[in-house]
Amino acid sequence: MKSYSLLVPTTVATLLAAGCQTAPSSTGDAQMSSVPTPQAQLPSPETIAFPADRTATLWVKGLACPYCVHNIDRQLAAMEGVERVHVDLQTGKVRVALVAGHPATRQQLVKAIGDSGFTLDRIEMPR
Amino acid sequence: MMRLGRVLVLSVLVLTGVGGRAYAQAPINSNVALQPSKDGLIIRQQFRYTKGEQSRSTTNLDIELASTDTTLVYGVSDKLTLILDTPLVLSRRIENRTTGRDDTDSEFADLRFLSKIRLFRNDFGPNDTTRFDLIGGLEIPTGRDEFRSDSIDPILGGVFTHVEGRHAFDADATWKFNTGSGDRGTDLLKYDLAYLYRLSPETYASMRPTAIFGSVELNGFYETNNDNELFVSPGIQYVMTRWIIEATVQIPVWQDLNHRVERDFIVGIGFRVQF
Repeated sequence: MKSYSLLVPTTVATLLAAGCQTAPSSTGDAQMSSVPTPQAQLPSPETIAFPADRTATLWVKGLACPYCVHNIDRQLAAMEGVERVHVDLQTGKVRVALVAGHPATRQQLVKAIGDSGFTLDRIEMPR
Repeated sequence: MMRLGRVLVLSVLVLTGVGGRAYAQAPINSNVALQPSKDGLIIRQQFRYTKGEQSRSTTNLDIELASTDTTLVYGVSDKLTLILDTPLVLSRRIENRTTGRDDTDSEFADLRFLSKIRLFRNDFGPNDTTRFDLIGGLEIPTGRDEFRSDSIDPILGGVFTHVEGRHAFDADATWKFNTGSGDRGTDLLKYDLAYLYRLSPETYASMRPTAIFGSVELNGFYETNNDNELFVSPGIQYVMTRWIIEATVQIPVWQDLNHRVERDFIVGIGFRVQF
């Protein structure tokens, strides 16, 4: 019973606070957008796909057209220790999500870019 | 009639063939110094319709030819590519006002085995590169009847490519050493200049990038029997990460031909897919 006595007022207070924060205002939606929503506090799908603690970032030069994206993608994605790959063609930034527990090494990533026929400018491994 | 058909067919197949132009940001009728990645495979299929004629004092011929060219490109390493080019004549029709019409069913023409070796590469930006490749290989007399040369002919040449942002320039030249004899013994110089411009997008999308390239090419031919031919070839390509769809028209701007028919125009469509 002791725990219930604490839980009820806490819940009511939380609901009231939430109601205040999300109540429509007379100034419209602009004010609402400045308030953090529950969705904004969740990690984005991108963060889930490429978690910072096991994502390597490579900067590659010489990507002439969309066809080049597949060349890099197939070299990296075929490696053990690589979970997924994203190539940003415009910037040459390649993100590689590594498998937890047995990630691909820096040397393996460097070799894969070499085999794909492009120049690796720099590489950042997860800490 | 047979010789005329053979000469036309061989010249058309030369036009579609040498060099393995299967990579992307690659012109449609010229070579490019870009290669697939190690163990990468590209299949290119081209379909071409050629209309030609020969108007001389003794003969008046109208000629139509439909052909297809299947090219397999395999990346042995990032510096070495092997290419197999298999031309197939789908149909050939020669209309002679005196002797009537002569049609031919589909026949394979001579295979080409080629390789590209990268000698120079300077990637100086995310979408920028300058490269030079050596081209070498053989044309093998594997075709049938009139679609066959009588010799194994070495091919040697080079290709230069410069890509900078939305612009790309290509220049290549290949020499085919014809080891045959008689009228089949002429060497062939094929030379190309190409300019490509990325029409869309201005900046690539982050996810599933695609692009539309417009191109204009000059495709030249010189044979050691002093036949000369130069085409201007506008084209368009839709490029995805694995597929390319493309179309071109080739229009002669200079023809000095004494040994084979004049081509009025060539229409080509095709696709490339990489694995």
